[in-house]
Amino acid sequence: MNKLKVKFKELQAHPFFGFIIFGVLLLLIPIFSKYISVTVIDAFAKTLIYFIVALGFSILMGYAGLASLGTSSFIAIGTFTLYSGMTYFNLGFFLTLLIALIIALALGVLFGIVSLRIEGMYLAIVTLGLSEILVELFKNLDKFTGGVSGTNLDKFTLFGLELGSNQVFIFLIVIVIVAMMATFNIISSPTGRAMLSIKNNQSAAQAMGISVIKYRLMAFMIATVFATIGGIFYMAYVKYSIASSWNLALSLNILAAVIVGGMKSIWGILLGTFTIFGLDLLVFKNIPVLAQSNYANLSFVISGVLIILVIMFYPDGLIGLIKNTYYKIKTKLKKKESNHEEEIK
Amino acid sequence: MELIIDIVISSLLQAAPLALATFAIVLIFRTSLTTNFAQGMIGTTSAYVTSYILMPNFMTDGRVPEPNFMQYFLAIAAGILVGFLISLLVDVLIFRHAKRINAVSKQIITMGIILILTGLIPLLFGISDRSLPRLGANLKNTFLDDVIEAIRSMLATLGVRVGPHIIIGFILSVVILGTLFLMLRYTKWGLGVRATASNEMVAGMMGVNTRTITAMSWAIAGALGGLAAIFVSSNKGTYGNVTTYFMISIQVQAFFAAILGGFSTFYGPIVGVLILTVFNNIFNVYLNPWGTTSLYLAVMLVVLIKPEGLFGKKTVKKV
Repeated sequence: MNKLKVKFKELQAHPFFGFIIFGVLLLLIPIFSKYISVTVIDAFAKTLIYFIVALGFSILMGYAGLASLGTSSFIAIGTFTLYSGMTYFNLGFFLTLLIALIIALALGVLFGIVSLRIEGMYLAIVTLGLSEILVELFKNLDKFTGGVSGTNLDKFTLFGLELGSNQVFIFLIVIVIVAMMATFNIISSPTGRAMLSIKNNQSAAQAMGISVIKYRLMAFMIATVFATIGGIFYMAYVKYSIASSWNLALSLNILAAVIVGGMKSIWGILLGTFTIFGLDLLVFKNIPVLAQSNYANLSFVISGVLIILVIMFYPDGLIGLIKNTYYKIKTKLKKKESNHEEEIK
Repeated sequence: MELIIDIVISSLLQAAPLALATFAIVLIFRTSLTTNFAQGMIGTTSAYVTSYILMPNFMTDGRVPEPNFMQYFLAIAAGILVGFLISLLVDVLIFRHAKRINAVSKQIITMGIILILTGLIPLLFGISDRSLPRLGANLKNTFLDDVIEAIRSMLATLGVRVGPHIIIGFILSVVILGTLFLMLRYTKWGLGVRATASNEMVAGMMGVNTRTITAMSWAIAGALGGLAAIFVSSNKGTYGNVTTYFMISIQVQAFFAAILGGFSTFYGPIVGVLILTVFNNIFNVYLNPWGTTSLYLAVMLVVLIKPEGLFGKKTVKKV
């Protein structure tokens, strides 16, 4: 019995333990899908998809320190590649995935090369320009993107089986957990530390022998791949994608999710994603008064205010705030305890 | 060849809103060391206010407001005042207290302002697009109309045909930008801006009130953004020409013009605007539908070769 306890404690100490528990909890949603309204499940699915995107963006923003505004067009590439691969060319899921990844890597390299020459403040501007180019591309390549009317995915098949939305959700949960593990491995490996050192002081990092080219390209490649995978699952779940919905506001919301939660912590990003997207999709859209079209962008106001507050007063994000208050309460309790003991003596 | 001349002259005339937006962005960059992403959105809010004053409800049957000269003038002035105040508030409430924050985080703050305004616009003005009448449409049978018609007929002899709103935009922009350049050169405010731009701390120690200078720069930039938005709305027709995202392309082009000309001077970006507009129109004629794409790629190539812009000075980094 004792042995089991020790083993369980060892397991608990493993960094992936929390991720697995989170995945198991999420699995409750598709299991009890009969009793949960469709809008709630959809909200969870979309939030999880944006969570994958935000994880990739956190490596770019939080670790490599590169503020890019091209996120939403990378998601769009995922959605449109899945549509053209599966419906237009009939390639099957895995070949489509491979093509999407190749496109994402190529774009990551392109953005990364640009980021080598153009630094700091100008980078956000140039990535905004690049994403405008991609939007233009989506509008003109209407064979693959449906142009202004958008595209519909009839069905999502895997190994010849058609997956319903519940199965896609389970698949999504698996990918979310894998993405969390991958992010954890990247940020706690030499790669993550190297990126962080470049962010903090590029010249010093270079002097220590860290290759700026390598890690910038890598950061962009990771971010684009995560965003494209997010796009693929968006298309697989929502089954509809239109070029105009992948706009600047979405890129900014992803940025908000990463910053508000806490750029450097996986749980922080989860918290951020649920604050920015979950609050809107799960709460606001279900309150009749706020579901009116006038209030459609109400969550944007909250995201904007939160971004400004977090940047100005809480650079570690909400997760930092929670940790701080937790430690404060803990130390206060300890002090009270020790005071109490002294009184007894 | 004639087509090229036509394109060049009409582009120079059409560059007005872009020049205003770019000047505003550079003004804020020089005083607050941030690129204001919310510039376009503040302008959009101004345009919404103007259209709301002229016609509070949007007409789905295609009716557009038909104000007389005085009404339109006052509505535009109110819209510009709102842009002025929003921008002033942004500085007083946020950027005044954000001096120690690094440049990228400051940028992100301006992105937060975009989100706030994007959310507020449908709350305050409803979700439908709005309409603003073309500038100069209400000048029929007045002295000003005769002047504009004379200019138009003069341009027509050169083979250049542009609408009256473009002439009005051009004249107003030249006057405003000219005044601003003169102010930068000869007034105390201008001296303060230049001093703050070169080194804020030293300027403060030398007795320049950097707070007021920065706040005024933000406010003027907001007003310019509002005016630019009204010019742009005139370029987009008359019905449903004001939408939430209608300034984004102008915003991107203004940034690109500023990068092309270099942020370190005031005249560089304006030259950048002229180059950008001319090439934009040339590319849109010869490379349709890939005009904008090739324009952006061309600018990016130039910037990759010369990251500090055509007229920029290289800043030396010290470790």
